[in-house]
Amino acid sequence: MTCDVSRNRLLALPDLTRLTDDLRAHLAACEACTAWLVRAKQLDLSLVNLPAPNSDDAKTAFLESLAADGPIIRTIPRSDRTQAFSFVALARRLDWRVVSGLAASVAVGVGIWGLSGPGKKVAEVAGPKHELLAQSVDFVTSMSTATNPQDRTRLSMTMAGDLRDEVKELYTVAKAEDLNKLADLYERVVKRGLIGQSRELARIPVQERHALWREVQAHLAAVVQDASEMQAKAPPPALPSLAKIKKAALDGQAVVNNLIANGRG
Amino acid sequence: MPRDQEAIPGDAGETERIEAARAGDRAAFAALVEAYWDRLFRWLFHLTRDRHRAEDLVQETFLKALAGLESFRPGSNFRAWLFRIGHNNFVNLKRSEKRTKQTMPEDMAAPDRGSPGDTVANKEALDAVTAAVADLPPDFRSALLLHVQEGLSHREVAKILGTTEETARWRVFKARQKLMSVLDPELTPNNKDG
Repeated sequence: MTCDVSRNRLLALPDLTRLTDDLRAHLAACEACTAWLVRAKQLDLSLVNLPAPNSDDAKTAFLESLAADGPIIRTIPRSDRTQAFSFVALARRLDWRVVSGLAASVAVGVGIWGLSGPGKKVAEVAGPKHELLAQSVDFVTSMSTATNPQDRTRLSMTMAGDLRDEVKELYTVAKAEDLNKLADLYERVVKRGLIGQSRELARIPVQERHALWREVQAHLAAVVQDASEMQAKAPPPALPSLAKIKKAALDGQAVVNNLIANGRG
Repeated sequence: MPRDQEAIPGDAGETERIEAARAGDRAAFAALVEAYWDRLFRWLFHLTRDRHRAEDLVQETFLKALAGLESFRPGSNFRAWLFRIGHNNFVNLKRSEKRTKQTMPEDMAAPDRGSPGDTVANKEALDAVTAAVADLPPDFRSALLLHVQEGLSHREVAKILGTTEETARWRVFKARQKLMSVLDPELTPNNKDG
């Protein structure tokens, strides 16, 4: 048996660990083919371990839609998505109902909602009249064009910071339900954005990744501190929302700490 | 991995979950999603080389599976049936996009589980394999990954890809042959072929 024949027969085997007698005999006498078989096994091992991105967010979103009552609805039509748009979970969450909810919550807090009486066109109210809403729109737009996890992490951190600032402005005066909407949004930006993207940082250079993770850590620590201070002064209806924000920040901290500690860095 | 035999079917509870899902039990179907999402996603990701398209395809596959559970024959291989739907979706996507070549994704992440990528050399080898796999024609890539990653037999690969067992076997063989010819230096830089 020639080496070429031997190797072709090895390649055709359904399982490289189950050699026929004649192949085994050839390998016993041929170091080159033995080495080649080792490499073929390494190839199979590499194929089994081919890297693929984490798809947990999309899976979770799909499972949630399965668990919900009513028909299963996918929120993002494929035709609206570009290759650069890699922030699936947040985009799914940050649909226009959420942005409208944000508009409502912010508008109530600062009194803009009062401008819209019965009969007024929705567009007059739903347009980006408030800075935070405009920031939210900018955020979604920027995320859709960001091409790397570093940028997406920074964008998420900026948005999370804006939301935190908005909560600090409103928590003593906003209605509980409006504050809760902001808290929900903050939680999503942290969970799907800040943390989701922090995980993606595992593949960028070590120094840069650590620097960004530390920025994220610092942001989350500041939010925990702010939330604690607000809880001490807030009216009772605001407490659940503040607790939600604090928990989101604490959970995020735990993940980032883990990322750093577990050698992803 | 079983390669020359039919793949091991799902665990004993899978048949019950399928039956429950057919009866409209969403929790049972969710358990099936949990069981197969990751492997289906991984395969479709390497076919599309695009995370978002792969996620869409996986969702679409499960939605079609849910809608078509009535047509699934109890006792047959659910995984092969599911991957067959996934493959059809992928083919439809290719047709609709008329895409011939796409760049490698920028959001490739390291695998979560332990892998041989712990050293620089192995990381380089894995990167080389990833790039070489991406360069394989889709039909060959698809067959190879089903066979090696999923441990499916040539017959099962053929069923999923809608081809003959011999064609499936040929595609796996040629894909491996191509990879070996491309990757030999990266895999073992110090070895020489004899």
